[in-house]
Amino acid sequence: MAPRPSRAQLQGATVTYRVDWVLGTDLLLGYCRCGAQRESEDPIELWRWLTGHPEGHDDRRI
Amino acid sequence: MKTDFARNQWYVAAYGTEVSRSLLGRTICGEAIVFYRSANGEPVALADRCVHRQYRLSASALDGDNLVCGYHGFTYDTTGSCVQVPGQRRIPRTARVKRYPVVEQDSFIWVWIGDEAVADPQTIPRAPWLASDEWTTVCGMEPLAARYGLLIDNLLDLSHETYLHGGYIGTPEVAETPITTEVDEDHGIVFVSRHMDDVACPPFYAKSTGIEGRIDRWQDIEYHPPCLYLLHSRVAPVGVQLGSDGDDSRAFHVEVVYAITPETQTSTHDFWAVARDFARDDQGVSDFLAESNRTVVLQDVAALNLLETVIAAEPAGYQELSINIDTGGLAARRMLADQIAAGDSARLPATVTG
Repeated sequence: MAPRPSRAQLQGATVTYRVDWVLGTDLLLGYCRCGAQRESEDPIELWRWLTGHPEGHDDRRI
Repeated sequence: MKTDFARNQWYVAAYGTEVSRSLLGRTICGEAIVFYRSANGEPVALADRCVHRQYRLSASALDGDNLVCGYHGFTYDTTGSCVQVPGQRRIPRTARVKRYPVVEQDSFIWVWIGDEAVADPQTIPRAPWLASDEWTTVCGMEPLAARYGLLIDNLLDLSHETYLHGGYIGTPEVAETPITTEVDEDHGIVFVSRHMDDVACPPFYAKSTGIEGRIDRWQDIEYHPPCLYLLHSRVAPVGVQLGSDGDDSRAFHVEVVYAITPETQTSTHDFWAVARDFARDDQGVSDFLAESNRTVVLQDVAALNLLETVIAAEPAGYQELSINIDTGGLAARRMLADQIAAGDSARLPATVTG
């Protein structure tokens, strides 16, 4: 499970995208506001996927 | 015309204390601007170029609230309208210099670069600590001989503290601790968060807070492209928690504020401020934090000036490498690119159809 910061940074509803760097790994976990999520080890590829919403997001909902 | 600056945006041009009844010339996003205050204290910003023979109005003089060109005496009021020319009564219709929307807020003088018709002061991001009676602030500004994007990259990835700022704010844990990045596209904000538990306390915080031993250290970045960067820094002895009611009075808070203002394509005004909620009346702490943070800023300036020479000599399209630590910086770049594109498209002439 991805680590959560100990203090919420935003009010949730206004977060468009979120990327957690999974503790103890090299893995990034990206979340889109639509509910889709994706793992990646490449931040450029991950941002491209997140900002490409909705393309490729439908089949990756949490 | 395409530029590398985001137009139709507010930028910090100066500290309020820099703008007075004397003339201040400063270039913002490639536009030379002269700043002064009218007799009633209102800041004024006009194009720093006389319409007559292009003399620098910042090298001129005030006559009341009017600005008198030091070359031939063309005289402008606070709106930029020419109200007097030498030797004749007729004032040419085109005798006017551009007036810039300007707002004084949170100790800064903000200037609008772009179309005056769409300037909205309500969109200026806030840094309320800097002008608050409940915080004590030290601040400065350093000229940077590098493009502003390099400073944004630098500030969005604080893992560099470990290597560039060891002995001041850097400890090994900064580079070793994963970050969380969030983007709020509705409000145009990039957040990068790094929370470190039970870590070494760097001298910057040990000497200013008096904490002996290890700390919990939070770094919560809030970047409002293009100009304002806030680092909400919390340090506390290990295990000090927020109260259930949100009370955090047992921790020490520092609000580190940067205003990243492009001067030219390859130079930047690097405004920095450090506000604290502890030892507020201790001048020794103020002196220490001012000296330490300026040292840290100058370490960044030296590194980025060097980096600028490398990039300037590179062939176009030279590839760089991004890894996990760059996640926040990449988000900032993307949002800034969108702002630049929006500003450029607003300048394009309307397309004729049909």
